[in-house]
Amino acid sequence: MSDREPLLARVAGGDQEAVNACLNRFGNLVWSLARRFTDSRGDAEDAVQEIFIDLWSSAARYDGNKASETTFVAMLARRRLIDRLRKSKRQPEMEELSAAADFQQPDLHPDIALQDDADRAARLIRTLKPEQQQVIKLAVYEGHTHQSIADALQIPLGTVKTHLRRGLLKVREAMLMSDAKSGGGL
Amino acid sequence: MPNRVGDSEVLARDRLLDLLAARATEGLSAGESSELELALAGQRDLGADDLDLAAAAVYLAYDATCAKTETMPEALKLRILRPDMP
Repeated sequence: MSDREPLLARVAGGDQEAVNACLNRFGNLVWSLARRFTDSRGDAEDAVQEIFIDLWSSAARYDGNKASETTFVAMLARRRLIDRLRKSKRQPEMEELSAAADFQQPDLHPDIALQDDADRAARLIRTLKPEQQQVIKLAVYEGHTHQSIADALQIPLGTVKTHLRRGLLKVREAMLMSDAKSGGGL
Repeated sequence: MPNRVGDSEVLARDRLLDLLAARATEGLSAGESSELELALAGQRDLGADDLDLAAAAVYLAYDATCAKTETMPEALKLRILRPDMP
């Protein structure tokens, strides 16, 4: 089965082969996300199970005009993991703040092809001011709260929120400017 | 009072975007979730998932850069694929 072949519509229709393929295609991505957002391997395993159960029941909601399948799966996974993190009241340890200049044009990922959506996001982020890039990376990728970012960067909380709001909106607009979504893995 | 109406619309939209951005990054309280649901009801140009999808794309971009992907354990795959799932 091609990495680009759409799967979610078939998953929504109860196609077991598509369910297996979905797990093979997105398993590593979801597992890696879960490992980043949880304290232990056991918690990560529980979270991944929940995420895939959610995916099986949410697959019919996927709209290929809005995002790729990979982005949709990552969205479902992140949403559930953020909820779990919030309930546990755990905070990731503040790693050394990443220099905004560290953000490079991503190389092709070894497990998932870099998607159109991620590529557009990367290009868009590189046009933002360094402080905006830093806030977005800390909040979206490293999972820090807005308040902890404001404290660490010594900027007002309102500035953190504004950077996030504007940055994410720009990324969304860039994604929607795509001529056509493949609906598949890319 | 067109300016005040305009101002209140801008404030309402900013608040909606704040809630969507917060959900996409640190999650919402139950009260904020209810507020977001109400705020989204009158929206045409912004979808409920829009900023979550943007955040997911940003995550994927950084993930590809950092290349920290781990391989999912086979035992976990088998557990998920039990006959009673999905």
